[in-house]
Order: sequence, then structure tokens, then C-alpha cells
Amino acid sequence: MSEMKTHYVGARVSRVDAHDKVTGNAVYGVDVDLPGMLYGAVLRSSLPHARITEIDVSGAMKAAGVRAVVTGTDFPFTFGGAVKDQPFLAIDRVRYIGEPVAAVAAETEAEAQEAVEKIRVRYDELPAIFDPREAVKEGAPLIHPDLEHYRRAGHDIVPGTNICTIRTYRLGDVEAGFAGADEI
Amino acid sequence: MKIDIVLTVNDERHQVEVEPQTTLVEFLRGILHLTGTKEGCGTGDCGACTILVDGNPVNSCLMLVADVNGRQVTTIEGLAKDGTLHPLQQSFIENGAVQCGFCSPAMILSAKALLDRNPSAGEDDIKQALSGVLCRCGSYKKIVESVRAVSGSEKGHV
Repeated sequence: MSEMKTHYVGARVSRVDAHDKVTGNAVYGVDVDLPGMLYGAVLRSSLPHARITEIDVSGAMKAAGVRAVVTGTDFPFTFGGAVKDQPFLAIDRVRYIGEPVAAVAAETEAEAQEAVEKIRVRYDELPAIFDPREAVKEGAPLIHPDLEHYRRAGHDIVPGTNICTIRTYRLGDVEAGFAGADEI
Repeated sequence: MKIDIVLTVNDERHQVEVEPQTTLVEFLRGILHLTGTKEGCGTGDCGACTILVDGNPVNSCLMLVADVNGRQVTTIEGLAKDGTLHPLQQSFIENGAVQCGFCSPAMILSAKALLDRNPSAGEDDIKQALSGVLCRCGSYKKIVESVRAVSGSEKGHV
């Protein structure tokens, strides 16, 4: 058997980016500074479940330094893993506290923050669920009433429910195992 | 209505006019473009914004530029001299103390402040000195070992 020569296995190798990180030279996303760059600010839902009845962006559009204001209807596409249920900005309803509802792009960070506070949203509150066990009960409020029409990655949703997919993992004979156990 | 401030940053004197509400971290990052100092929380909880004022570690997000008028500020960019790394920087690299690196400048400066006044600080003193900086990657063990390697209190490679 010939001796295997190792060059990197077992060798002390420094991270390729360690030098930049310890000197402060590493450029993180927030460090990027480009000429003419704009800054974004996001308005988020304060309610866990509600229909959006109106979004008034006129105040933000007039605010100093603002170059664009966007809402969900400007880009009405959804993304996701098993089920593509998540919009970029809430379209017709919000489904969690903190869900992005509108966004502003302005010339400075301060102007973006000021402008976003001028957006007025009207909501019609809906009953909310905070426990997945409540969510699967019959009669639970539907978080996605249109769930069966969403694009999905081959997983079976259960129409008319909040159930995204059902997976069963089973191995062996549990009853026999329990019967033969000293303690469970 | 701007105010006039004179301060030294990494041995360089600056005479500037700033809005009075400008925080030190905003000034360092946004005006001097020294982005090595990070703003993790803006509320003095995470310590990522730690820099040295007259050798003492402070949260730059909680200070106004006005607070450092006439004083000496040291940021991470001021540690290496002519391309030669400070022993702490070298030790962090060699002892695997850097993961995402976001806390590294703050950890290094906090350790520097400690070793400048207590060059052979032991593990407990090191942990105490670094307790103001959070590391979400969980590199604490290697960070402490890196500092111990420089202070000579065992462990790590110098």
C-alpha cells in the first residue's frame, strides 16, 4: 500500500477572507456605497390577519427625496418552497405582524424612513390563529382561502384547510415495541 | 444648523461640520467611509459598533460626534501599521476566531483596550472585557483563545 500524500488534510489553513474581516476591509452588503444609490424602507403590518382595503401612498410620493413607492399590486407574484404562497409585498391581505405591505426608495436613509411613515393603510381585521394545532382544526379561519390554486412543488395540499402537506413517517411495529418495553 | 467638530481618527486630524444629531457611528461609516465599524442594533445592545475613544471601548451608536470633540478615536482601520497586522488581528486569523466577521472589529478593539492596560490578562479578564460584544456565529471560544494567545495566558498559536 502506497503512502497517501496530503497537502491540505490536516494542514492549518486560514480563511481566505479572514484578513479583510480583521482589518475592516471586508465589504458587507450594508457597506456598499455607490454613486446615485437609493435607500429603501419598508412599511410592515401591525396586524396578524387582515384584509387590506386601502393603501394611500400619496403622502410618501410627495415626501422629500422619494424616487419610488411600491405596493404588492406592483409585483403580484408569489414565491415559496413547498407551496408558492408568499408575496413580496402583501397583495390583498396580511397574514402576520411584520408582513411587508409597502416600500419606499429615496435618496437618503432618513428620507426613506420619513416617507414610509406617511403611507396610510386601511385594514379589515380577520380572526387570527397563533397555534398550528388550532390551525388544523375543522372550521379554523383559512389563512389562504385559495390554497388549492397555488403553484406548488409537487406536494399535496388539503383543499379547504390550512394544511400545506401531510407526511407520514413510519418504521417498524411501535405497538410491539411498547409491549416489550420495560418503560415508556 | 451644523456644528464644528475637531477630532482625531486613527492619528488623522479631522475638522468637520456636522448636523448636531449625527451619531459617531454614522459619522465614521457615512462621512469618513470607515465601514469597518458596524452598526448591528443602533441601541447599544450588540457591541458591533465598539470603537476606542482615548483608548476606552465605547458603543459608537450611542455617542454623538459632538461627544468626541477634541478626542482621539481609534477604529479597526487604525490597528494595522503600514500593512503589518496588530498581533490581535494576526491571532484572530491564525486561531480561527473569524466566521462571518461582523463582530471581529469590535472584539479586536475591546481586546486591544484590555491588553493595553493589562498585557497578560487571563481568561476571566478577557471574557469580562469582551462581554459587551455579541457574536451570533458563536465564535466566543476561539475569540477568547486568540486573545489568550497574545496575552501569553496559554492556548492558541501566536
